[in-house]
Amino acid sequence: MTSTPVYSDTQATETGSPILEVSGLGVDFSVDNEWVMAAEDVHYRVYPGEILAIVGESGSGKSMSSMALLGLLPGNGRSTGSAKLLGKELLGAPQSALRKIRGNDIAMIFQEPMTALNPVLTVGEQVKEIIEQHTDASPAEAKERAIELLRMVEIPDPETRYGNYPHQFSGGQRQRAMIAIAIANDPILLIADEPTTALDVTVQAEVLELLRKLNKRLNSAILLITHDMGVVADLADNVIVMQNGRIVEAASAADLFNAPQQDYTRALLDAVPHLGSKVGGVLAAVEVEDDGSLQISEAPRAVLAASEEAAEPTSSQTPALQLENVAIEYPGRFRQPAFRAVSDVGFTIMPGEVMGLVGESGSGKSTIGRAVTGLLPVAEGSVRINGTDIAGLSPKKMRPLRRKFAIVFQDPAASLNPRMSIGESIGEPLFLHEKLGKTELDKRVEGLLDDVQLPKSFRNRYPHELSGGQRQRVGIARALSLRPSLLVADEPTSALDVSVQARVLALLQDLQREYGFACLFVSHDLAVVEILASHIAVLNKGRMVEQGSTEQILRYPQDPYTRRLLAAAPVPDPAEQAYRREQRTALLAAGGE
Amino acid sequence: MTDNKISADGPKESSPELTAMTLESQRTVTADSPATRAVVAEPKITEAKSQSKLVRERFLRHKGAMGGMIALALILLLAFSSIGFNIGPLHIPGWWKHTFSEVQATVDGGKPTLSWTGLGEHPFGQDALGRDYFAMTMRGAQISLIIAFIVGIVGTVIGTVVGALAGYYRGKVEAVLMRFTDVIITIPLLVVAAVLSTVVAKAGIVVFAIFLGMLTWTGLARIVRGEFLSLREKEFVEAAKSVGASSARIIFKHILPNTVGVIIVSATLAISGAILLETALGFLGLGVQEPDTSLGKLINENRSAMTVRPWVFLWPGVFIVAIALAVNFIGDGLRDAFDPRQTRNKQ
Repeated sequence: MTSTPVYSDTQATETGSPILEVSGLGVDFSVDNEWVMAAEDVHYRVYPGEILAIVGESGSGKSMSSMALLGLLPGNGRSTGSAKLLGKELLGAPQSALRKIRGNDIAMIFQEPMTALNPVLTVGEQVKEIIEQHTDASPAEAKERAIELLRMVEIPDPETRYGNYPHQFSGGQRQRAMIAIAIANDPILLIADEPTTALDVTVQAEVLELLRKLNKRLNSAILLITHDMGVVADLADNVIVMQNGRIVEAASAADLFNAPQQDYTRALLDAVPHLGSKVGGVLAAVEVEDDGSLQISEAPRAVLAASEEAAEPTSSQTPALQLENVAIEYPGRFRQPAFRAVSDVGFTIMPGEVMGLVGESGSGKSTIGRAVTGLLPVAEGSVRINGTDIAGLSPKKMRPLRRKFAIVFQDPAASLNPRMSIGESIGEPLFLHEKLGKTELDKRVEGLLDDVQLPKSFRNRYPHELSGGQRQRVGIARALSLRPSLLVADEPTSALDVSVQARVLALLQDLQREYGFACLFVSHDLAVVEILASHIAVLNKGRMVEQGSTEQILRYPQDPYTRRLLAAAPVPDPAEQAYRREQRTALLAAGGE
Repeated sequence: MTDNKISADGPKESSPELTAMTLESQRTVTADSPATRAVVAEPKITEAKSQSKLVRERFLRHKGAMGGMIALALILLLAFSSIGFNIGPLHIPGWWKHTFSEVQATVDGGKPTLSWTGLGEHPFGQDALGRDYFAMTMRGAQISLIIAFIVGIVGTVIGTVVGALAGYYRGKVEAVLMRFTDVIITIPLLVVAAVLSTVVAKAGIVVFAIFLGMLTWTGLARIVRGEFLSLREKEFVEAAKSVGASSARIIFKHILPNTVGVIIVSATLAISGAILLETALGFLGLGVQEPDTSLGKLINENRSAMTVRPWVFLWPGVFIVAIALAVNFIGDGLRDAFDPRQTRNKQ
């Protein structure tokens, strides 16, 4: 990798004056002619080469306090206090001055790389544009520089990729291109707002690795805004925890994770699912030698035997769900052939068991969840629910079977009809299948609201009046209303904050114990799956890679893809995360084996 | 209970920061969050309210809509009670002394006698033939209201059903229905009306109105189809499918209420539009036939008298505007009532 002279390769030091000094920063919003506080009394300093993470749940003011620095607040917002960039005041500076600072001294990386890139311009042009805007480089120089930057963010074959459009890039590459744009003019401060939230774990690990490398090479500071404690543990030097617009705790990453001082921080850390907490460590089989080579040990016989039994149960009970050689296709349009999203997948869930279905985006995990609940047709193979094959059943024959299974969707806001009250939504399956009278229906809905720990008065509310966690409880109540023997949960907690996620997961566990349903738990988050599932099946690109007991998959994964997936998932512990990074590097170096 | 100061319509907003902000501000403004308030209210057993009851409650709280309702009710009452009306062969007499077809001697050049002290002999004046203009305006209002509402209802029902079926089922159903819609759009309305109206108008204004309604649903069908196309992909529709809801239930219970906004806006426009369409047809001598009259016809017949006798122009115009405004206010209220997010009570 070559570098232009402007970049220094010296290691960052935390001495000298701070790059950014924020003191008494407050952000307010005017809502219905009242000023509502979004953040207040925010103090922090960022030194050259430092990575400062601001963590908090949604509504904690972490994003808004950073947007205020750049003068990017929405029209109804105002900021107070002081924020100095190298001694120059940012708050209250005229827009023309801020425009010079944005993209030049301070650069931003946004959450959604697809929407942040212009789809009708090539990626190269967009990098070039930002260089031309802030320097007086000639077009040829700017292009050369742009290619240099693309190489720096490790985009393969940058000369060719320069002329490609955003849709020809993968998600991770798009985020790399965004980073290239951000670092184009050697910013002294990089604000990364949830830079990896939209990415898969393996891609996230690569992007985090890139940010770490760039931080060391460019000696620029990074302000990392995130809700993900794993990302913080992986990257940050210092951490600020925010809640309801105020700083709760500020500490170095090591201190914060090892000895949190505040109750809120402790509660937040406790709520984060920690990969390996139940089975006692992940990737136990993978040892990294001093020279960076890999030592993969065999799994103990007992674990393997237990796992095999889990995969092929021998008992005479009818499985709650049994898939055999299932293939699922999305029909083609016009002359395009059909797209086969899933092929040759088979697994079994016994009554009362929870099976985790894990994979990255595009692996077909949600597709399977939908096919199992009869929302998508099955192209090949059989899907047996309590012994009945639902593949190829007509909608009419399917209808009485529908009370045997239910699905909880990922996005609780989208899966509830905005025009129906909560009570109606929950009561709908009962109304359709049991034809209950009004009083009886009311009683059942009340009981269900009790079961998911929502007050009964919520039944007349509408979905938009509820918080995300409450909405998902409604989704669960609706799914359980007919006492199904199989529940498909399609990423039920991925749209929720960690503390809410923890409560919803606890609720699901309780209900599972109480109702005793079998559950197919679809998720991209291995740590969440570990909490709930007794078995795990791993999917990659529509094919089953590996399945077995949770312990076997997490501790002694047999397949290289599973190993890479496990190594990429960050854990909220800086020391452990550092070791896991080594494991990951070694695994990648070992290649696909 | 429902008056959260800030509507938490977070999902609509594009940026996650904004969503976070809205939720956050909600938390700080209403110190007693929904959860805690609900717990306080727990001892009272909350009765389940049906959707229609909630809609009715919200509609009745809407001041603009209630004003529109009252205005429309008064116009209806005035128009039908004053000169009476026919049900088939039966004539129900009204309290006004003149009829709309009776020709009398012109008093004081046909000037209106309406003043602060009383109605007088001819409150709205007389037309060129000496007919009582109040009675004529009332008759015109009756006819125009009947035509407007029938056209509005027929057009809305056909447009909604065609659009809903095309948008929900897609494939062949959509192809057939939408090509049929295109065919209807290409037929010039005035030409068809000209050919058929002499036949149809003889059969009475109701048939005439239904016929107009059957030609004016195309725009709504296209809009509703578009709404259905996007709504049928939403997760809540999938959720309804997964619990075994039938297609009819999904269309009418789940998707249709979410399109009520556009349907009602379009229906109110159709009603105002029908009054104007009837006017245009009347201008060509089609539509409502002599000696019967309508508001549009009254304006057209007397358009040359604008400078000399402005009242013959003024009164039908006032009624057209009043009816159209009232209908629009009611439509506004209905749309808000059907939208659960509109609970700010700011009206």
